[in-house]
Amino acid sequence: MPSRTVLPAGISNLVLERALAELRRVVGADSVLRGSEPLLPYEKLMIPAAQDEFEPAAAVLASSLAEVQGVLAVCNKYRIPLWPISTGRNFGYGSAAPATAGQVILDLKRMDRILEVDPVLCTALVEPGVTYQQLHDYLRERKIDLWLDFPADGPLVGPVGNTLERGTGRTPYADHFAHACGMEVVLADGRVLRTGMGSLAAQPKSPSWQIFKYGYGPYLDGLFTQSNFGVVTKLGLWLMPAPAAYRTVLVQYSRDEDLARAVETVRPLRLSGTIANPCTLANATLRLTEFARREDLFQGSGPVPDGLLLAAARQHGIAPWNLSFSLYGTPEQIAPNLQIVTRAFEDSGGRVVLDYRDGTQSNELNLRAFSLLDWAGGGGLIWLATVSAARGADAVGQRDLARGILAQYGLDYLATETVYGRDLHHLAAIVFDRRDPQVRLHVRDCVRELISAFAQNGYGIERASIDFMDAVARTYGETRREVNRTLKRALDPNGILAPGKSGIHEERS
Amino acid sequence: VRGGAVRWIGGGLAALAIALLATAAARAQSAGEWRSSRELWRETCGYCHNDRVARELRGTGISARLLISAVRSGPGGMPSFAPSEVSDAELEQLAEWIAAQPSPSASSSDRGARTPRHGSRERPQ
Repeated sequence: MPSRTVLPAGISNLVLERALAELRRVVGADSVLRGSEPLLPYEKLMIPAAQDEFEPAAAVLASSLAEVQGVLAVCNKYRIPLWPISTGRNFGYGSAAPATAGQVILDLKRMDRILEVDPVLCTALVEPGVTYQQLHDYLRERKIDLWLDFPADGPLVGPVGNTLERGTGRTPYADHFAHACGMEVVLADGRVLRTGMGSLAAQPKSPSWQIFKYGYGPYLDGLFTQSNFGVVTKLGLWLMPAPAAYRTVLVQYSRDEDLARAVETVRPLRLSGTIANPCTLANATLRLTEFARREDLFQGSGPVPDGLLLAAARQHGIAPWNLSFSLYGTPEQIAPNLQIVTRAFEDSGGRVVLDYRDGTQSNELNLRAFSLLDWAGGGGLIWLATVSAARGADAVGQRDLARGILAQYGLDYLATETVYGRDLHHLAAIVFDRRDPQVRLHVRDCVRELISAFAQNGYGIERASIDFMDAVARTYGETRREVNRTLKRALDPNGILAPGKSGIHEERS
Repeated sequence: VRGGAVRWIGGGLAALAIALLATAAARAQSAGEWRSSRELWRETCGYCHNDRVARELRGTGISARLLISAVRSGPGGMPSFAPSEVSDAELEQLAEWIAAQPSPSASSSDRGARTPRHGSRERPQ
């Protein structure tokens, strides 16, 4: 087997080889991958980094809780850093790659059991390798009428990884962490913690583990999201009872300056519960990626000029801002709510289009979002995910800040602004040709400036790619970082779990 | 209120019946089940390789060797697939299956023939 030059920080090739030999005894020889070719799938990046910047040293494929414990014991012994992944599909945030080169990937994809689905209480218990596709098929085959909420790349990704990254979807269960209940976590020293009611001594497991989140004492689950304090091997989910009916609505705003009015109109409808799911405003460029590539519109440098963009958008029935949401319930419940929202949006200057189709709001899996990656060619994507108050002025503020900086770097502005309730999430997709090293450097400079400018304006980043985790962590201040370090020292004294995740680094004892 | 009828979802009553009949939660699906090439195509490749997101592969004469390499490395905007998700044996069989498939329709694989799509595409995360 060819030897790779990349090694964990401070670990010699000899020590790594010894550790890998022991890991082969834990998971089987075929389940330890080393060498260029076997590791290729873990090195695929969309972010603006060179492929070798985040190369893993090896990958270990675990199939059970006992194997995860065995892997952790070996890695503690040799102080080998481990980067756990569930499906490894953190697209635009680093995919499967570790936050620093030389870590060993702990691939949990083979732990893909759907352990329990309770159709009465609408809960599930799943392992990290389970995908939304798998769970969707499982429910459909058994005619269990529960809906899933998934991100736009749902078929390929899974609820454990997405929830732990605090990902979102588009139904009333869009906040995935808010709809998770109970975790099984393997701590760095191999102990197994079941959070919430899961620690009750009931056998084989607490009957309320997936029912009540908090148990007794501090609520711990948040510590294991966007962090490196443990390896989550089971996660409880709340699933949405399929509504009797639904109706997806599109509201088009014909002027860029309508954005503020749109947000001001949406917020009270969300806060009152009239609209139960997040309301997403997609800009014209983002919507256009469904129909065209950048080069179809414009072959010059810099952002596609507004005139060309809006003309192409009109051809495809796309407005400068396109708001979508759904109403769920019985037809009797939907009818009056539809009247209320139609009136509100028409009064705000929007054009209301009924019976719009968006599968992510109605339990239909698809991967149409991937045509986004075709916009600029070359497969580059990095997200800028920021949060503000759900106020029109802040929606405009985030739009102008992002669009202005992107334009300075000659990049197109593709974005959504989503009103969840009190919070508004601005998500900009920076797509670029990552085959060109100069373009990658240029995009990195741009993202660095965006992070700094957004933080200075009070718009925090809520999810970061592996190449900007430190930069984003710094924007939240030293006290926050010190608390994270204290927790890290307490829970992982050898610093073997995912060093660098969310800017939390190993502090080896 | 304008527009057509509210979209009904089948199985509302069926769900209630299942809930009433369910005496125990539905349990367990075993890991590592072998999947057929047709199933892998349906639940993974076919979502994109349909001339809408990426080009159709069936009936193009693409070699199995090239397919295997693309699946593992993920060229361009395509994701990569590790052996933990698609085993070497599954991948080999899948690549041969794709290479042997006839074209599903007479539709062009020319990206210029891209069909307009409907539905939003927000938030791949």
